[in-house]
Amino acid sequence: MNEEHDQSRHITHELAPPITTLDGAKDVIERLRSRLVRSVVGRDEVIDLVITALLADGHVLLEDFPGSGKTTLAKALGDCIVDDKPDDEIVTIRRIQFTPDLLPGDVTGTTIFDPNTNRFFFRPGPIFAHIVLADEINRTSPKVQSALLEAMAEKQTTVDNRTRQLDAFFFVIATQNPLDLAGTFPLPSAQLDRFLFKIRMTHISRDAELALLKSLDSVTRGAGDAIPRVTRTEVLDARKVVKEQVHIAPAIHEALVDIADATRTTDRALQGVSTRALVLMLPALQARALAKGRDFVSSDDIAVLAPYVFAHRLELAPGSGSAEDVVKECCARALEGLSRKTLKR
Amino acid sequence: MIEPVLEPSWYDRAVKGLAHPVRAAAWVLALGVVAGPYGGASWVATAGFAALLGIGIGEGVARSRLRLPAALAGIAVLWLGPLLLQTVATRYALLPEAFGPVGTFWASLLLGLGGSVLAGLATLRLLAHRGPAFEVVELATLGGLLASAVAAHRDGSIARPLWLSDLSWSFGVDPGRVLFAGGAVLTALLAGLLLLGSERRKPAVGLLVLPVLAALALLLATRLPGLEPPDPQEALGMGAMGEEEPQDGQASQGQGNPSEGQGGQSEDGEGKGAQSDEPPDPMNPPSGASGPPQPVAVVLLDDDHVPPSGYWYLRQDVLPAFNGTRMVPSEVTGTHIDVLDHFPTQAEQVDVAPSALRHPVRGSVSLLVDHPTPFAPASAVAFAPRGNPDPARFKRSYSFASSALFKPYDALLPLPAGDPTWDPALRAHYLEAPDDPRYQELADRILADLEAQLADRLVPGDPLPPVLKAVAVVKHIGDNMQYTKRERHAGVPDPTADFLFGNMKGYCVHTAHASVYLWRKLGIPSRVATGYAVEEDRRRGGTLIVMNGDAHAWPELYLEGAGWVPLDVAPAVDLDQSTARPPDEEELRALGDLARRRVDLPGPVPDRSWIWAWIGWSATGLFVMVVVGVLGLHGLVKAWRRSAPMFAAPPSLARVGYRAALDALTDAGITRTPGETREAFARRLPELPALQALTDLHLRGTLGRPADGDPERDRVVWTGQLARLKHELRTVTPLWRRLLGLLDPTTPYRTR
Repeated sequence: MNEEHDQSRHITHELAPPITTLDGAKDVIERLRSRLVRSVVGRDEVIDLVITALLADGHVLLEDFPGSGKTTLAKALGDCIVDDKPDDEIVTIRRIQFTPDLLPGDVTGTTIFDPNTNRFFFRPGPIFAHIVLADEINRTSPKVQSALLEAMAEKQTTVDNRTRQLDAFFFVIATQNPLDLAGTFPLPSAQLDRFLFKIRMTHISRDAELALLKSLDSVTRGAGDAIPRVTRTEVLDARKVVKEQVHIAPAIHEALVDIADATRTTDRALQGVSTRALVLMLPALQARALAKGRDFVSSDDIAVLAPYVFAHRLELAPGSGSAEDVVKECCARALEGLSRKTLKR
Repeated sequence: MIEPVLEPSWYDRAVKGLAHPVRAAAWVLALGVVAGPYGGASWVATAGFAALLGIGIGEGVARSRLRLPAALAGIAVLWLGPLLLQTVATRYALLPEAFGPVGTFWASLLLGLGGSVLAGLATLRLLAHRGPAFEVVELATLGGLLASAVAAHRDGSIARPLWLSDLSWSFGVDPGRVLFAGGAVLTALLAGLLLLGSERRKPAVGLLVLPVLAALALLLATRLPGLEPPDPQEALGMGAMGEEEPQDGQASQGQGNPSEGQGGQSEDGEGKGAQSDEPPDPMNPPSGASGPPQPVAVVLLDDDHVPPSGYWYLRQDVLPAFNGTRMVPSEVTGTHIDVLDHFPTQAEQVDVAPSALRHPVRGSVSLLVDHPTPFAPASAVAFAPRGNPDPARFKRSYSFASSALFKPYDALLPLPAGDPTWDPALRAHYLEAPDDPRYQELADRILADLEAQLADRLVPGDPLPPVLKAVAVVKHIGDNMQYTKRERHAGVPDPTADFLFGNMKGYCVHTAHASVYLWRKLGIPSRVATGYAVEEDRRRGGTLIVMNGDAHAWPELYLEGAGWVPLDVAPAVDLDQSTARPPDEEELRALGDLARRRVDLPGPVPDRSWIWAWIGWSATGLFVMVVVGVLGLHGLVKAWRRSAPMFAAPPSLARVGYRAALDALTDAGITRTPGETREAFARRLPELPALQALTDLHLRGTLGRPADGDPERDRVVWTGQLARLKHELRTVTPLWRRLLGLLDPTTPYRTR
C-alpha cells in the first residue's frame, strides 16, 4: 500500500527561491502538467482538472470504471511532488483501498502500546500523506467515510480525542465506480460537497489507447524524469499566488451568483448549489485561468469548470436527466448575459 | 446548444400583456361579423359575451395544473351540458312554461349559441396555450371567420356584404379598397397576434415591421389597377354599358329597309337627322319585344307626389309646330320654355307659370346612358347640375324642380283652353293641323257623339269643357286602335292619316299625332311631347328607374291656369306581347341606392381622383422614406460601429474594437452560438487566428485587471489585429458573401 519514495533528489530543490509571481506559479503548473501528460496517456482533460484542483486546494472525486488509469494518475501525481520536509512523518503519497470492513483507525492511524518503552505512541495512518488516493470510497462504511471527510474539510484528524494536524498540502483523489453499486454506501450530498470536483472519466480515445499500448514496450515511468519535479513548498506558494494575483472581475462574481440562482429556481433541481460551492469555485477558476495563461478569470473558465463543481452538489428533481445538463442549462443564461455585458458600456 | 432564456424586460411584458385584449377584441369582432346577419344584436351580444368568457376560461384552465385530456373533457361537458339542456327544454316545452317566450328565446340562445362559442373558444385557447403550434389553428379560425363574412366579394362582386359596401359608398369610398384595407388590417392583426404569442423575446424591430407592412398595403391599395368596380350592366346581365342601344338598327332590320334609318316616322318627317347619334330617342319606337330592357336613368324624387294620370311623364322635348306633314320643334319664341336643349351647368330656371293645381316635385336624374338633353317630370321649372354619384356607372346627373299637376282631371273641367296672354299668332301656331278634311270630320263626329252622350246633363248653350272634348278624342282613338310597334305606316305621305283612317294599328307617335290633330281641329291648343312615361306602379319609394322601353310620345293640351297637361291615349288592344324578362327588382333597387349617393357640388364636379393619387404618392413616399431612412440609419450605425475603434478612448477600446470585429464576422456570416463563450467561439474558428488574439484582448480589457499601457488599451494593436482579421476573413469567405453582408442592415441585431 505504501510506496516509499526516492528522496535523493530533494537537496537541490530545498534551495529554490519562493514563488511570488504568476509566472512562477505558471511554471509549477507547466511542470506538473508536462510530467503527468507523459505518464498518463489520453487523459489531458482530467490532468488539467486535477492540477486545477491541486492549486485551488480542493479535492477530487473520480467516477470511472476499474482500470481506467485512476491509480496511475494518482501515482504519477505523487511522483511529481518532492517532499521538501522529509523529517516529518508525512509521506508523499498513500493509497487507501476502501472495503466494507475497514475501520476508521485504518485510515487515520491508531495509538499503539510499545512494550519496549511501556508507552503508547501514535502510529499515523495512510491519511498522513500529501496525496491520498482513496480508492472506491463508496465501498466502506459511513463511519470510515466520515473520518476521511473530516480530514478533507479541516485538514486535521482526531484519534483518541487528540486532534492532529495534517499537512497544508493535503490532497485527496477519491474514486468510485458508477455502476457496481451492490453493497456500497453512496456518499450523501453533504459529503459530496467536500469534493471540489467530481470528474466523470470516460474511456480514452482510440488513438490514445493505441499509443498507450504501444508505449508499454518502452520505458514509461522514466519518460518524464527529465522534467524537473515540483516541491511541496512550490505548490503551496503557487496556491497563494493564484489566490492573490489572478484577477476576478465583478462581472464574473455576478455571473456566478446568477448561475447559483438559476440552479435554485429551476424546476429540474430540488436543491440548488450552496454558497460554499461558489466560494470554493473561485480558486478553481483562478487556477484554471492561470493554467490557460491568463491573469484574470474569464467566462470560459466558468463554462468549463461549472459542471465539475456544481453537478454533484445539485439535488435533482425526478426525471430531470443528467446533472451536467442541468448545470449547463443554468450556466447558459448567465454566461450569455456575461458575454453581452462585456460588449456593453 | 441550449437556448438561453433571457429575463423579460418591461417591454416584453407590456407587449405580451397586449396580446390578450387584442385577441379578445378580434374574436368579438369576428363573431359579430359572422353572427350579425343571422340573428342581429341578440346573437352578436350572446356570441361576444360567450367569446370573452370562453377565452377567459380557456386561458385560466391552460394555466392551471389540469392535464390536457381532463381539461378538454371538462370543456366538452361545458358544451354538451347546456346543449342537452336546451334540447330537452325546447323538446318538452319546459322553458316556455317557466320563463315565457322572451325568456325562452334568450335562454335557448345562451345555452345553444353561447355554449358552443364558449366551448369552441375555450378549447382553441387552451390548445394554443399548451401547444404553441395550435396558436396557428386559433389564428386560422379567426382569420377564416372574418374572411367568410366577405367571401361573397370574390370575383369582384362588390355589393357583398351589403352592409359594408353600403357603408363604404356612404363615405364615398370604393368597397373594393375598403375590403383591401380590411384584409391588410386583418393580416397585420393576425401577424401581430402571432408575434405576440411567440415565446421568444419580442424584438422591437419585429413590431416595427408591421407599420412598414401597413404602408406597403396602402401603397398597393392605391396602386392596384384591378379594383375598379365592374360595369353594372354586366353585373345585371344587361350587356355592356355605353353600347349603343340597338333599337335603331333592330327596328330597321325589322323593316328590312335599312335606308329608312329612323323607322316609319322618318318618312313623314318625324325623325330628326341627328337622332341616329342619340340612341334613347323617344321619338323612335322602342324595339319592343326583340330588345332586352335596359335601365336608362334613375330618377330620385325628394317630394311626395302621385301623378293623377297614373303615369310619370318625363318630358324631354316638345313638338309644338306643324310643318305640313308632321309635328316638329317650333321656331316661335316661347314655345320651348319648359324644356332644356342642353344639360345644366348651373342652376337654370324654366319659365313656367305657377298654378294652384300644381305643386313642387323636386328630385334628381342620374343618366346611365349618353343622352342628348335632360328630362324631368312635367313640367320642369328648374334644372341644376348635380354631382355624379358614381362616375363609373352614371354618365351624368342633374337635379330638377318640377311643378306637377296633382289635382285629379275633374279639377280641369272648368278651365278654358289656351291662354289669354297669348297673341293670336301664337294661338294659331298651336292650332295648326293638316288640311285633310277627314280630321275635321272625325273631330266633329266625336264631338257630336260626346254631346249626344251628355245631352241630359248639359245645359244647352254652354260650351263643352275643353278637357272633356280632349278626353273624348283620346278615348275614341284608344278604344278603336290596336297598339303595335310593328305597324309603322311608313312610306305614305301622312302616316297619321294612314293610322287614323286606316287599320288603326300603331303606337305612341301615331296616337300622339292623331290626338293633337283632332284637338287642334276642335280648337284646343296642343302639342306633342316626347320623353319617357313610367308607370306609377313602378315607383319604389322615391326611386323611379327609367327603362329604354319607357320611351314615349304623348299629346299635351294647354289649359288656362293649369298649363300644359299630358292627356294620353290608352290603347284598348295591345298586339305586342312582351316576352322580355323583366329586370331584377333587387338589382334595380341597388342601382337606385347607388344614385342616391349625394355628391356636394360647389361649382364644378370636383375630381376626387387626385386624393387617391395623393394618398398613393404619399404612401409611396412614406414607404420609400421609411425604408430608405431605416436602411440609411442602419448603414450609419454600421459604419460607426466599424470605425469606432479609430476614435474610441483607450479604456473602451476593448469593447468597441471587439464589437467591430464581431460585426465584420457577422457580415461574413459567422456568429457566435447563444450560450457559447467568447473563447469557445474563437476556438471554433482556428482559421482566424486574429480573432483569437482579438478575443484575448477583449477579455483582458473587460474582465482583466484594469491597467494603463497594456496592449488591450493600445489603439495600434487593435487596429492592427482588426486589419489582420479583415485579411483572414478575405481568405475564408467568398466575395459575394462579404458584399451581401456589407449591404445587410441587420448586422447590429445579429452581432452577439
